[in-house]
Amino acid sequence: MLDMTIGALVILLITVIFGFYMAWTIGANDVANSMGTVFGSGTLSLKRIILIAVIFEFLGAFLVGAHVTNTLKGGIVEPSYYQNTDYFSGESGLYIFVAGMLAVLLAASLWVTMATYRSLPISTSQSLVGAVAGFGVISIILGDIPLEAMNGTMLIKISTGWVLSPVLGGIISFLIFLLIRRSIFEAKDPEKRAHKVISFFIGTVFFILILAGISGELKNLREGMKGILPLTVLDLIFSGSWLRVFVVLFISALAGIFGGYYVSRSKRLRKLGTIDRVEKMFGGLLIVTACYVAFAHGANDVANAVGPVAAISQIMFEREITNEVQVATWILVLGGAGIVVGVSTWGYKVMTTIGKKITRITPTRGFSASFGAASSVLLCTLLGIPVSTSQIIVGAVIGVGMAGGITAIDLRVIRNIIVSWVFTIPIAAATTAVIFLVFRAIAINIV
Amino acid sequence: MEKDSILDNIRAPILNTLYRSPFDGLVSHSEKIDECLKHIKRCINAYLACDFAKAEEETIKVRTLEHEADLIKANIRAHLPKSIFMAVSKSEFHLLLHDADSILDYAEDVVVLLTMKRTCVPPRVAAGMKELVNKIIQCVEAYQGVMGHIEKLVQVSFSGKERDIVKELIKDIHHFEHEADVLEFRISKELFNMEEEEMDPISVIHLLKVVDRMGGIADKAENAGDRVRAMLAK
Repeated sequence: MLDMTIGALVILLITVIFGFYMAWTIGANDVANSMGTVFGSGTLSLKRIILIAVIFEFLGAFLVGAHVTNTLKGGIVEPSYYQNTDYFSGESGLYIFVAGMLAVLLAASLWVTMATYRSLPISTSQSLVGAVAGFGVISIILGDIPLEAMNGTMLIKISTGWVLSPVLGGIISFLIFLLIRRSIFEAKDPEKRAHKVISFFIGTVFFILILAGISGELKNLREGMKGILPLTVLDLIFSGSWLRVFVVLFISALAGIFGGYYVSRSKRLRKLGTIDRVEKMFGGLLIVTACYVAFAHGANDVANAVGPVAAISQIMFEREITNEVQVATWILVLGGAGIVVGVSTWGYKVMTTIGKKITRITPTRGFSASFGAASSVLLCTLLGIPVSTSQIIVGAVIGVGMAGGITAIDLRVIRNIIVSWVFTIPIAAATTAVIFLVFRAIAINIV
Repeated sequence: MEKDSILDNIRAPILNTLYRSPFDGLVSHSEKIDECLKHIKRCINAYLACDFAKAEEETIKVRTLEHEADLIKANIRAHLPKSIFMAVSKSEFHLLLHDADSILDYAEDVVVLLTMKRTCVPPRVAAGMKELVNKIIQCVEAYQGVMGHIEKLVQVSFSGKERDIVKELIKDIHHFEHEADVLEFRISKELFNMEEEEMDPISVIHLLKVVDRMGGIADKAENAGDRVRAMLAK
C-alpha cells in the first residue's frame, strides 16, 4: 500500500473528492423525498428532522451500505476480466478499470449537477447504473473485454427492481393505510385501537431496523469486540441463530409497548378531538418511521457515491479487485459523511423550500407512505439492488391514495418516472463512454 | 432572489404527486354561500317592508357574490385533469359542486325577480314569506354544517363518528326542506286565492314565481346534501 506513486495518490484523491461530492448531492437532493412526508405533517421541526436524518442516514450507510456498493463496484461489469492476462498484459487491465471507474464517477457527478441546475428530477442510482453500463458497453465495443464480462442478468435484475420497487412500496403502503382505516377510523373507539396499532408498528420498525443493522457491517465489529464482551453475548448478537431473532423480537415488543404507552399519555392530547388525537398519536410513530426511511436511504444510496471509490481504492491498495461483500470501512464512512454533510447543509435549505409546498399529508398517511417506501428500499438494499428512493416514495404515496387516504393524487408523475427511466440510462451511459475514451487513452499511455 | 434560484430548481417528484385538494375550493365556495345568505335575507326583508331601494342594493351584492362563486367553481373545474385520482368518486364531486352552485343560482334568481316588479306585499302574505326565508336559511345552514365537516370526513375516509354526525345533519336538511315546502304551498295557496282588490293578477304571478324560486333554494340545498349522502355510501 505504501509504494504508491504520486500519480496514484492523485487519482485516489480525485476519487475521494468526487465520491464525497456525489454523496453530498445525494444527501442534498434526496432528503426532501425521504423526509417530505414527515415534514409535511408538521410532526417534527425541521432541525429535528435533519438531526434524525443525519444520524440514521449514516447508520444505514455504514451498517448496510456494503451490499449495494458491491453491486456497483463489480456486479455489473465483471472485474476479474481485467486481471485476466488473456485480455490485458500485466497490470494494464487494472489501470483501465480504474480509468473506467473514474469516468463513471465523473460522468455521474456531471449529470447529477447538470440535472439539478435544469430542474430535472434525477435518480442518482439510475445515473450510476447507466454510467457503469456505459463503461461496460464501450469496453465491449472496443474489444477490451468479451460480451460475457458484462453481467446481463444483473442489469435485468436491477431494471426489474426499478419497476417493481415503487410497486412494492405502493402495495405495502396501501395495505398499511387500509389497516389503519379499517382498524382505527372505522372502529367504535378509535383512540384505544390507535394505541394498540401504534404499539404494533413501533415494535415492527424497531425489529426491522435492529435486525437489518445487525445483519450488516457489524460482523467487523464482532472481531473488534472479542476482548470486551464475553463470547456468549457476542454470539448472541452476531450469530445467525433463531435465539437472536427472538431476543430482538422481545426488545422490539418492549419498545412497542412503551412507545405506545408514552404516546397515549402525552398531555398535549387532552385538548383535541378524537380524530385529531389519533393523528397526533401517529406523530410519534412517524418519527420512528422517519428514522427507518433515513436508514434505508443511506443504506441504498451510499453506493451511488462510493461504489466506484471502492473499486478504485481496492485496486490502488491491493493491486487486485474482488467481489466480496467486505467493503473497506473508511469508504462507507466517507460516503456516509458525504450524505450527512449534504443533508445538513444544502438539504436543509431544500427542505425549507420544498417543505412549504408539501401540504395536506396527515401523520397516518405520512406514516403509511414512509413505512412502505422504507421497507421496499431496505429489501432491495439487502438484495444488492440500487433503487431510486424518490420513485419509490411516489409509488408509496400513490398506494396510500389508492386506499382512499389522499384527497387528490396526480398520476402524471408515473409518466414522468417512466420517461426518466428511458432517458437517464442512455444519457449517463453515453457521457461515461465519451469520458472513458479519454481516460483510457491516458491510462494506456501511462502504462 | 437570485441566490435561491438553484433551490427552486430542485425537484422532488413527491411534490407533484400530492395534488391540491379540490375540497379546498368547495369549502371556499360554501363560504361564498354563507355571505350570500346574509344579503338574500336583507334583500327579501327590505322588499317585504316595501323598501325597494334597499332591496335593489342588496340584489347587486348578491349578484356580485354569485359571480365570485362561479369563478371559484370554474377554477376548481379547470384544475381537475383526468390524471387526478381522488379519494371520492370524481363524478360525485363534480355533481356536488354543481348542486352547490345551483343553490346560489336560485338565490340569484329570487333577488333578480324581486327587482322586476315593486309590489307592496299585504301583511299576511308577507308574514308567510318571512317565515319561508328563515326556513330556507335554516336549510342552507344545515348544508353549510355538512360542508364544515367535509374535510374531516374525507380525512377519516367517510367512517366513524364524523360519518354519523354528517348523516344527522343531512336528515336535518331534509326536515327543513320539507317544512319549507309546506310553507311554500301555504303561501302559494293564499296567493292563488287573492281577491283582485287586494292584489292585481300580475303581482300575484310575480310573487308566485318568487316563492317558487325560494322553495327551489331549499330544494337545491337538499340535493347537495343528498350528494354528500351518496359519497358516504359504501
